[in-house]
Amino acid sequence: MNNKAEDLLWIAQVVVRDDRRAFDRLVCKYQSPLRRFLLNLTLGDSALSDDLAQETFIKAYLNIRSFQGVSAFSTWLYRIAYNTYYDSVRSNKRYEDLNEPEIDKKTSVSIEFSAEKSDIYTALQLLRKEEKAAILLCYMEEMTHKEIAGIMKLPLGTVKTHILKGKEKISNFLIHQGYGK
Amino acid sequence: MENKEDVLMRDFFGKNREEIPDNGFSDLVIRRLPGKKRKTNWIVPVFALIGTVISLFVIDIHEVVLRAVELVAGIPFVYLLAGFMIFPITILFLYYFCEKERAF
Repeated sequence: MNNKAEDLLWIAQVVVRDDRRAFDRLVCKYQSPLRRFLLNLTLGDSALSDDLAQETFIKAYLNIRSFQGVSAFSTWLYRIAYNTYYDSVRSNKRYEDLNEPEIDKKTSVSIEFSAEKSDIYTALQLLRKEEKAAILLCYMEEMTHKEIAGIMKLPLGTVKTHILKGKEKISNFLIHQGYGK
Repeated sequence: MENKEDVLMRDFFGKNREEIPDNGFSDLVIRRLPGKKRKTNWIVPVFALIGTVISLFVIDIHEVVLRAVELVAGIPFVYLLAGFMIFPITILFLYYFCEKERAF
């Protein structure tokens, strides 16, 4: 059974029988990429990203009847995650108001383990919210531009512009840090 | 064709792409799922109430009670005791299955 058919089977079980085991399978399958996406969006705040991931799955469960199967379930899930993250940023402005020392403190845990890990958060910090999400979906989650446009609810051209600008900023940063030599 | 920037980006993000272990996350999500209210939940109590009210008017309550008492009085005590004892066991089983269902 292919990936999409397997997802649809589990979704049907959740919709028809309110089968929590089937939903559990969906959570197990998608928790890692979704939490990774949110962890990078929140620049390494694992507590906040896990809260957002939980909220995403609960919203998905409550609204699973509205999933029409036009896009892949993962795309639908990422859209909820992105909206949840966006709402969280808008409601408390936590990340927009962060200043430099706070970012350093936040990423210092990662620095102890890997310099590259801290580089990724420093690099992502250079980007605007939309650029960050588009870059992560494109290069980290390996999604197509069309899928990203669906997730972010933006025109394809706008998504391409965000990716282009984000790519320019990050690659300049990486070259400056000595990557790609 | 991919340019140098693309290769650099893919290489950098590829190296930082890691699997996040579940560590009880999915269990936590399932536990936090709210119970769903079914739209048809009202049907059973409403029809039960209507049925009870109708039966109160239709049947002779006095006679029914008398017959019930006669019936119970005719049952040996041991059978009655066994009949009552079955309730806690049944409730225990029901409770177990409900809890098991709620866990998932």
